[in-house]
Amino acid sequence: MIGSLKDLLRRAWRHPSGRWGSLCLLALALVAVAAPPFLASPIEMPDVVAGATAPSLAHPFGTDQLNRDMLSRVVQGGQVSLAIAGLAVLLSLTLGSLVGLVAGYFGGWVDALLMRAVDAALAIPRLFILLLLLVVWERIPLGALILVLGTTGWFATSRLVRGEVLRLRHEPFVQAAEALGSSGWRVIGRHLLPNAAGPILVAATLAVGDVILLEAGLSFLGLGIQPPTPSWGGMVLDARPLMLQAPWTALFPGAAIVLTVFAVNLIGDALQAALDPRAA
Amino acid sequence: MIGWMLRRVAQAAVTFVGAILLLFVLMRVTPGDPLSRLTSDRGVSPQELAVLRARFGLDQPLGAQLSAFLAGVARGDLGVSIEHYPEPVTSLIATRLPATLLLGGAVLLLNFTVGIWLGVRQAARRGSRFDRWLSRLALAGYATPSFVLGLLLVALFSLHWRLLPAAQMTDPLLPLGAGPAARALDLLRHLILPVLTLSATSIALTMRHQRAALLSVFRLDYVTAARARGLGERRVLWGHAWRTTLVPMLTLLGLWLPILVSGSVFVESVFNWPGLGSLAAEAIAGRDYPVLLGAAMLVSGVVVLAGFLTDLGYALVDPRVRPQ
Amino acid sequence: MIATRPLIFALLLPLNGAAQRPASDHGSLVIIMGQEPSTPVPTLLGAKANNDVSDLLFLRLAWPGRGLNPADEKHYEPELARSWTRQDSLTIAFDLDPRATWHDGVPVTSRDVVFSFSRMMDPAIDPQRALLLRFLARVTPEGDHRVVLRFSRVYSLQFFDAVTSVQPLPAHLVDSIPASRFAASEFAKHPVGNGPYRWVRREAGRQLELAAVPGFFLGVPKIDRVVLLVARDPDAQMNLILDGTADALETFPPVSGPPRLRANTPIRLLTMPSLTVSYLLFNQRAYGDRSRPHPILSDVEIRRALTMALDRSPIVRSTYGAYGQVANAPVPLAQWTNRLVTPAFAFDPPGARTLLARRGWADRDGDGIVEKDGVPLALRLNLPPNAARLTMAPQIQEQFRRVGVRLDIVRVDGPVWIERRNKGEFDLDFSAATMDLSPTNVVQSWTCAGRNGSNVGQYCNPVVDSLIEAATFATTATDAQWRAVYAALTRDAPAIFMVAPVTLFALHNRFRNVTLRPESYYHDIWRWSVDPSRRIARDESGGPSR
Repeated sequence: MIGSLKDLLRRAWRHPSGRWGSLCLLALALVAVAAPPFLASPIEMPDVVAGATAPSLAHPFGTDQLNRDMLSRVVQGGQVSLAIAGLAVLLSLTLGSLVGLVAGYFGGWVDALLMRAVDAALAIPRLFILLLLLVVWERIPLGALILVLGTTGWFATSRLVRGEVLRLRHEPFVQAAEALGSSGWRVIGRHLLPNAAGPILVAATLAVGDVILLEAGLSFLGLGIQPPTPSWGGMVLDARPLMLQAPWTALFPGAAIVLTVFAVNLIGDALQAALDPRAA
Repeated sequence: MIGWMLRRVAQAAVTFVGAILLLFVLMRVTPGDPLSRLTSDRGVSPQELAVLRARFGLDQPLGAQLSAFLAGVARGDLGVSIEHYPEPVTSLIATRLPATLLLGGAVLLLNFTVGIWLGVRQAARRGSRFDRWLSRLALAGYATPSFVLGLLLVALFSLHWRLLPAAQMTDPLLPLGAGPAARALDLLRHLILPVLTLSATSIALTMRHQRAALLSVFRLDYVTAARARGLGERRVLWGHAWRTTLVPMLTLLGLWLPILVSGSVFVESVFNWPGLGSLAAEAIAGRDYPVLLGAAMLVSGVVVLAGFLTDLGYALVDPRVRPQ
Repeated sequence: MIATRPLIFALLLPLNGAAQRPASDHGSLVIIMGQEPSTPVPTLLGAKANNDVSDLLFLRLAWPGRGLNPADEKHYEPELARSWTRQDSLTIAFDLDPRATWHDGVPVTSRDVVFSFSRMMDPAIDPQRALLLRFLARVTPEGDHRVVLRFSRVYSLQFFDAVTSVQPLPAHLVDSIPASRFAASEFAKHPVGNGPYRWVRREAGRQLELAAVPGFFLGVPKIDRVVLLVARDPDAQMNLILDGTADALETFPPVSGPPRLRANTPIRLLTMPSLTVSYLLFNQRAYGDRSRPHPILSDVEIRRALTMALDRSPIVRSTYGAYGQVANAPVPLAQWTNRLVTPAFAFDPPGARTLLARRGWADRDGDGIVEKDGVPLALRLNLPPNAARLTMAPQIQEQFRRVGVRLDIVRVDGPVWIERRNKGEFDLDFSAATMDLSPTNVVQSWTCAGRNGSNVGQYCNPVVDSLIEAATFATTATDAQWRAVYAALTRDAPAIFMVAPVTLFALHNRFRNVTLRPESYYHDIWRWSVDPSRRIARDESGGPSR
């Protein structure tokens, strides 16, 4: 049985992958926030006609199509991309897990209502829901973007979590807890959530990469981050026409995304282990 | 059971209608001029715009547009595309549907065979070098945008080694009299790269979920009990443990099923695959409302149906799991 | 010497033998199009793809000569009209070629021409084209093969407007179809034309196939089969040409495209002047409110300062490589008046800053952005999803920043971009205009009269209007008049004109006698042929299918 949240986090931290994953994310975030003043300008184009130049001593990551230093762009791009990856994914996971747990455990009309709403939401293209934001904002603030990405990204997660709960609620340990008079919320928090953590954590890992790229796609619609502010996803998309001739323009921001996904995955592994001491 | 099914079908119908009505209203609120594709090439006079708006009923109030749409649906008429005028939406969708069904079907098949098998192998050999490397590969594969993978595959297999066609579903100059065998071979050659591109990410996803589901099952008592009873590891794995993961895998399948009609935008456009995914994406990008509504109706139908089938599947694989 | 002669003959003989075998110069052509030509029929509202295809199916009375002043009637190439005579300054008589027939075998007569002109002059059918023909008073037949056009006004481009705006339709097939139902008619689905190519079939969303008309009266087409593939994605387009599926591609990224094509030996790169100019359009009215002047940009001095702040040459070179020129007026490279444009302002950042300071804009708080009354000079640029403009915009932003102007780039998708343009919701709009060969095109977007149409920036200067009018209705040499128009227009800086691009074209190297037209790329395909020694498999499979 798990104790408090603090206890859980301590156990996850003790797990080597938890430590490595957290340190890696922390390092990425620290570099993104603190390093830019020490690097070349990410927006200046010293010799724009020269275009994309290969990695060199002056530009360790090379330069992009407009001859901007890729290293400082990748570093600064982390600010937007990590914020979105972290907060939006956290928000959508919380919502998705909550809806899935509630629908699966309580069943009946609660389940019907929530799951039919999820069906309807899955049926409408997400892009279309997001386009509506242009009515409200002409230039969307980062906070609002995170909020919106978070609140529109949980539909599939809730279905996965609900499926797990439907399976688990007939397991002896859940039935036993109910027989002993635990309240519904207590059963959800103590027994169902830890055991349904598997799909939630997988969804988290995968959602991180998705949402970083989604932000970039949205910026083309005026919804994401606008130039000259860099973001990893935006840099990968911008590199598309030059991918074969100047692979470094896609490689470094792409590697940053993959690194983040790896780090989140490590943390997920550690959390899962911490949730279930038997499987450690 | 029959009662549950009837109630569930009624719910599905209500959800479907609700989603379509919601989409209809959302579309009219969304900013963007549906005539932009017709008018962006050249200057257009206000009179000309008025003629066009009247042609597509865009000058009518929302209520009138909605009732005209519903009346059309009742007749089986989804209206006429704005961008592909005067093409009816139904025929536009009918010509694009087979391509998406084919691509989506192939991807689903690969995904839920290879993905599940790899996931099970990984879970069985948890912590081994095989598991670790496959996990890393899967994560890297998943974090790679499909257009990057698609372009790399094309650069290698089509442009460098010249083994497979770079795009299209069929050879544009395939003789009209070509036999069925030649046609099938041509289609197969064109199918390989898009299927590979799309499967790479989706297999990674299925694999991760299968691995996680199986690992959580391993902790449960009856697996331990089965092992204790001295059953072979193979029987324990596939006979007992894996069966229990059918519920989450069915959920995943239900979430993926709509790809049969929704397609993949990136892959369809990079490979110039004439499917519904690119059609719907163009319809969103051009605010071609009739086409978008038609495509969305199809996708909504399958999403709602998939939700129903998932619940039905739960009841079949695990009689205890019958949603009330 | 003498002894060697038989040897030479012996060497030549087998060659002669080979040459006598009919080495065919016929073949097939597969073209990639970025848009689908769904209704390639004249008089239907058509995008460029439709027009390109309809020009293969339907002829005009005559066609402007290459690169010439379109006012020069003598240099037009005959099409449906074998010859023409000017009866007076208001009247032109066209003699139709009696050999011209519709693809169903019926001869083309004056009845078809008169019918089609009367359709096009009806503003209810195509207001835009009716406007072009507003000075055409009457079109009358004289017998089966003579048509007389009578104008109500003397101007230099009478002939151009008359012959280029109308493609005759077969009256015997079309006159029973009401104009309102024409687009959905059977004829629009299977058009019957009179050009070098006839309609074979269309696979919606995928491809369109045309076949040569064997007895085409102007000459036998050597390209037997033309397939137009629809591919929207730029990567898919490039890959289809590189892997040999297609022969021709008309648009590709000017920086990354050419090196990839050059590395692929059977593809050669062709260029031609384009009819496009792109520019940063200033909104003369307040953002989203046309009742008030723009608080900053209605001042011509500010517009000039912003123009002087930009060093456009590196922007154009980094985006277009060698395939574009800095533009100084709304005149594309393919218009003959392009050489009459001279720049009004040189790149001069200190001068720009001085102009701004004179209007009260200075950086008092040291943040690098100039202010006036505490308000920073910030402008919003609406940017549509276009690769070239996406590359130029951050450079413009950066250069403005150096003179203390903040440019907020707002990327929007096509429909939102058009909507905001039409509502005037922009400070600057990254526009591009595609014109025809006639310099009178400037009327649409740069005159007071255009303000309820495509002049979305609401620029209006009566002096410029009257100069354009003078140039349009001049009957003698018009160089000086057009020069005056462009000088006045550029001094007003209604926009920062960025680039007049060159159209890039990739084509398989087996085609010979290749000519391309800026106004209709594929118009001359029927004159092309295939180098017999370079024919490939699909040239053999050609020949009219079905």
